[in-house]
Amino acid sequence: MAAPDFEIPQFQEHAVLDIPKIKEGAMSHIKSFVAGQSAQEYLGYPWELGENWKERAIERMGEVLKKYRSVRVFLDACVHCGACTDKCHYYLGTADPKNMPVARQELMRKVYRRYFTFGGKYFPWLVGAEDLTEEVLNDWYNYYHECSECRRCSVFCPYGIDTAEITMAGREILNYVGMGQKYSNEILVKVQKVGNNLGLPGPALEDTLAGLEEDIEADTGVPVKLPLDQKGAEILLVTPSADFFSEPHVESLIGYAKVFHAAGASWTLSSLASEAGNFGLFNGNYETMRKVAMRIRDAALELGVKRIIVGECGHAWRVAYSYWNTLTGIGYGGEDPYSQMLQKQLDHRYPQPMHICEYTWDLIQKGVLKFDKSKNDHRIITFHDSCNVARASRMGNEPGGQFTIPRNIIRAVANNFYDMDPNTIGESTYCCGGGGGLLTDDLMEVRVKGALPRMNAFNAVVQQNGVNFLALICAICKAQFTKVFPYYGFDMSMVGGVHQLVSTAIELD
Amino acid sequence: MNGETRVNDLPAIDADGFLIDPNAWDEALAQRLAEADGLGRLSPGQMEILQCLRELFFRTGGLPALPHVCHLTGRSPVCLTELFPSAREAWRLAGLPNPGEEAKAYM
Repeated sequence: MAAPDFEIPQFQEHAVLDIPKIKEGAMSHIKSFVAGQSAQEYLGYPWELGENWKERAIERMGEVLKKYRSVRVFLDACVHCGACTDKCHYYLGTADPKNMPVARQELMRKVYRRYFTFGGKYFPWLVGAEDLTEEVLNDWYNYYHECSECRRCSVFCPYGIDTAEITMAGREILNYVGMGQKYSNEILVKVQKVGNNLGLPGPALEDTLAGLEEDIEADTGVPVKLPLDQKGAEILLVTPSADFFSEPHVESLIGYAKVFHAAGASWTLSSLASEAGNFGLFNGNYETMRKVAMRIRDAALELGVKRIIVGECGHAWRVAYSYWNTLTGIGYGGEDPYSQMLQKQLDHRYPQPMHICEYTWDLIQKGVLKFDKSKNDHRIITFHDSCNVARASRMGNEPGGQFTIPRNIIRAVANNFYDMDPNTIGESTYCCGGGGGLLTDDLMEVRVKGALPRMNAFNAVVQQNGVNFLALICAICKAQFTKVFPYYGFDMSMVGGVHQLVSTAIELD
Repeated sequence: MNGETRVNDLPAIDADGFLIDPNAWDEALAQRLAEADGLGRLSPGQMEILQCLRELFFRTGGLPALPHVCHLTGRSPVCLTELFPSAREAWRLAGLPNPGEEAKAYM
């Protein structure tokens, strides 16, 4: 870790942070790298502001308002009550008032009023309406890339205003005028060209999986397989490509494979759909999100699978659980023959798609899996609810399953578990600070400061309970905490996956 | 090439610090990069990991699973971060080309 050129926030004694005193413009110097010509062109966007950028922006805003009525409602409904102001981890960690959710919304609301409301068109000074200038556009770029679309603010808003949707709309308009973000857009190109965000071609993936099979057998003496492109397999596992690449992600992939092995399941990965992540969500572009999701439908049809299971990835699970149906499934036009074909092909005795945690917990309840919990005794564990899983999806058959199921798994495979402060978990969970397209080194200051509320609550259980392991079910959370832990004096080896814990304790025949 | 720089007589390096032509690498270059990055002299064990990374990269044309590199060299799965400041730094010292936005995020 290079020495940071910014101040690392300090921990406070209590788990829930005090509200900081405003520091105007504290994060205005942050600008994520802008996408270059090749990525923008591939995605169908310009790569620089043309002369008519303002007209294009207003035009796109009009289209967005028509297509997503929620955005218009959110822009109209706010009464500035202030309930959201202290709910954003980026505000709590940076004290920049433009990181208050209401202020982030206001960046767009003032422009909306100016061009799309009667009062704003004729009496802008009376209604807080403002012209769209290059300065305003730059503010959008800065502060719509200091929002991780985690939706914590929406939980506390009496109107349910979802700032994530405003951020998504903002990024879509920015893309449309040629100000895309390098990180997200280059990844969206890779996933469409190669099949995963990492840009891992089929033969490399095959080689990787063969190598990992050797590693598992050397460790356990059991020939656990990681099948690829197996036609006729019952289950297709779609997981973030980070699981094929680095620590601690790979440990969870090994965990899934051991669970499938122990259950005697017929399963496969796919080289065509070797990515669960879908940055189309972050970009706010429905068509891009559909194109990325289509690969998974195509792979499922080609392989003839009966079930689709999604690995540990927060936003991927949101897209799968909440959007797949209307993006590519039976909700996509209704008449689409491939949607109908897939619908017939899938086994509807099971939820489709299913989260890997639902799958594992179901097997645990049936007594199929055996564990030696003591193998995790060196770990004192807490669990971080990932924002997209917590607030934008569900698991299992009961309300709140997305909170109880991962914790149930941890308790089934380990003896030492402590939850963090109740105000910082479950539906009120703090974002890791790196979600929503912010997991890039050029935003490290935003990521480190935005992680403060979570790190502070984590520090409290470290101090009180001796916690030494943060269990996660999201690739972005894992990567984010691995990078920011050292800034807060913690070791990166304290970060890992829920299925890493499963992998440690599971007994294989 | 965007952001390409040359320092002294080092081969061309991109804006993120990665060698543009991986064939321009040899162990002496790795030593020079390590010294420039303040890591001092690379140990035989570190060099073994760099060679293994290169071998896997050239075999498949893609990113290898990093823990597998550790396994092949008989080390714990987190050997890259134990022996280098980060996996990204190991990748740079191995003279491999820019692995892309997503890979950098996970290194």
